[in-house]
Amino acid sequence: MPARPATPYDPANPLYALGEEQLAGIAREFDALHDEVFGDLGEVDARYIRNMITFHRRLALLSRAVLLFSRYKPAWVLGAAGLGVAKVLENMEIGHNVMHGQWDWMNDPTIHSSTWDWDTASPAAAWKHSHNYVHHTYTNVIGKDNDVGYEIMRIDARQPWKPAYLLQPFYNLLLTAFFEWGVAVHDLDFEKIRTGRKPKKQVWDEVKAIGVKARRQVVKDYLVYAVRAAVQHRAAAQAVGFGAAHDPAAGIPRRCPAAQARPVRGAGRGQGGEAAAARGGARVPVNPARCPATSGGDHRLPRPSGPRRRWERDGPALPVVRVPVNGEPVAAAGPPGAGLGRTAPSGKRCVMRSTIMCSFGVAVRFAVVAFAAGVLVGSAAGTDVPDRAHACVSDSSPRCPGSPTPDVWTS
Amino acid sequence: MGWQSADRLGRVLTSPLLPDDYFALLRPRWSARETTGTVVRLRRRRGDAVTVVIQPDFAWPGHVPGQYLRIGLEIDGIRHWRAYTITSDPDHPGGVVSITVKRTEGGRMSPVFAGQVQPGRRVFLGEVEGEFTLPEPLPGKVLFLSAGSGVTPIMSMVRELQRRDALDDVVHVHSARTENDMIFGTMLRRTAERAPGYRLVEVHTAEVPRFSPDDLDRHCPDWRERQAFLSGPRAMIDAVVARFDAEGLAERLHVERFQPVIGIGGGDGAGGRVRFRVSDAEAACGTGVSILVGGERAGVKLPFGCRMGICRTCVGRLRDGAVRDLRTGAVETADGQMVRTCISAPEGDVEIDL
Repeated sequence: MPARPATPYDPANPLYALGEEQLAGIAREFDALHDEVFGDLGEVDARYIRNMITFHRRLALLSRAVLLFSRYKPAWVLGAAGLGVAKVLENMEIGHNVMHGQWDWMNDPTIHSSTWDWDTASPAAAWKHSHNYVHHTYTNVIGKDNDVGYEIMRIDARQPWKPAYLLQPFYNLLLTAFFEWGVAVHDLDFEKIRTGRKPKKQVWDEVKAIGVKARRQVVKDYLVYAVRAAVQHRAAAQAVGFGAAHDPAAGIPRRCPAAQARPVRGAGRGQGGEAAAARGGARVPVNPARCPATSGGDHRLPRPSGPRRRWERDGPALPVVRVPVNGEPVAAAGPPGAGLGRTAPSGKRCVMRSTIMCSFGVAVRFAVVAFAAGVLVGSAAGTDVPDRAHACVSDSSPRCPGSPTPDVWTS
Repeated sequence: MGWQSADRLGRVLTSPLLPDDYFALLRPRWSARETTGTVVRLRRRRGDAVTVVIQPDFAWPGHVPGQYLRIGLEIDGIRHWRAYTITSDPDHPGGVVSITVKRTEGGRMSPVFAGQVQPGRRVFLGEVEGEFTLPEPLPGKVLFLSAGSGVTPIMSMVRELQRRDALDDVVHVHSARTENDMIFGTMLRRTAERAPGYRLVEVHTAEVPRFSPDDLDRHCPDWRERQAFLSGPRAMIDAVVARFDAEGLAERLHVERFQPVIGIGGGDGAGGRVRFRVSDAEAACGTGVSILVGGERAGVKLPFGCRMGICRTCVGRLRDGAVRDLRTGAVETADGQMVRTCISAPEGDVEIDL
């Protein structure tokens, strides 16, 4: 099917039929919902995020400890899985949400969007710019919101088609394995650099910032903890983590086309955020609800300023937008039952989705491990790689026959 | 391997967190990320006040009587900060420090201290601040003027003078609603009985008119010769300051100003001056002008993002004053709150860490 021409305005989108009054109405409903949630935040929520943070740290520590015995397969599996889960929680439920400002209401400087840094190669400031500002101000606006396909994938019919997209399923797999690095460079905005819309100095500063953060991550994850055969464990943990986290198409409603680039900036409250989200086809309601492993990262709400768990929970009053089309009132966006109306979060779907994504991650993990093992050790996958690497280190010989130097591992 | 290398290795291992974050798993107070303390005792005072004794989780660096301490308390999951005068002696043997809190109806923090806080509660401690202290060398003739809970720094100074055997010629005029309503009433009356150099004049406003500067001649005829220390509600401070200014005695008057009282009206706020502490710059904001816009107009480089309150790129810690949320009209009085500069306008003069 040929791509539809890019127009700044899509008369086919029923959301454009909304009048000013209706838009103001949506804004009011969102405000009421916001006030309701914020009026109810308290001790229980504070305890939740603190427990989550404590749980993550304990799990990470414990998994690292278990991995000390990774020459025994069960310990290897357990440790890698634990580290993977810890990573998912840290990135998705803690890092993403805290840096979003969802917990700023506690006024705790140690759990605050301005001070938090997450355990990934992406610098906090860069992510906050690309996500909080770009993505959540121009939600789903093609040409503005780089989260629509991350500049390398076509996930909406409005994106102009290029032959390279034929390979999309393959490099999506690659992206899954190296998602951390994809996120790290995401804010550079290659399209802007290519077209010269970003000053060289700024690009250089951002590259330097990424370099500093990446160096810390590499030193920690691939050098210090890789004193033993940690390359494999790490790859495993990462694959598990990002397998669950990575879903470039999440949140783009199938039946609600993403908006074309149009000025939403400067629009006032009500006309700007909420309406842009509505017009952009934001999927407000919940799909893999209550699943900490996904952080609600695929909810494309313009102002998710409260904790995820609260605006997902039991969804009492997400505004229902009804637009008359041909005289018939219809739900404005999204597939039936998942439109802008209320949706009961389905626990089953959450589990299913996570399972699928995690198995996907695990499959990739094995592919990566096999690949890495093949390249590094020069033997077939499934050999005794961990044991050999372990033996090398415990011999404290700087280099074992056939095994690489740490420098090679990190490249 | 020295301590520094160990610390560096720890940081490498725990990046992007700190080794501290993991020590805190074992025992929260091992973390040095924040300065905290534990409430160890509560003592009821007259006048609906309570003295809260706090054991800091670090060696108390000391303070000067009259200074105040910012205290953070988590109420319903939200950390609030208020400044309270330190009412304990600087060299308390147990290393404890205490504050005296008067219950304010409708207040956020004082009712919690007065009613709910139990020994064992964790509090966050800010820095010791304040210049409302006795000068060195100690003044010979002193006049203390206080009202209500404004007595707290004065009480600290009286005790300091007593401890240093310098309570020679002190007149203290204090206003309270009734005799029983006076915070530290018992302690101050006992001091007045024992120390001939300390004269206490009580004004009970339930019986007699409120204290006014015109009463000074009656209560303390030689007030013009004394170093005066003034602490109380705003109206009283304004009146006394005006009187001292009129008499050309401004340099003899030391004043403790309480937090300004902010009304919550509609509209777009009063505007005011913003001091950017990090950029070391100042800006004036007119009515309805956000801190961000005001700062930019004054040439200050500030972080910003969406400019409509969504992304929080622009947040800064508000150190002093109050801001109005331009969207809702709500006023936030601030002790260390993080505010979004793009939607906050100063309500009076403010200071922000940006």
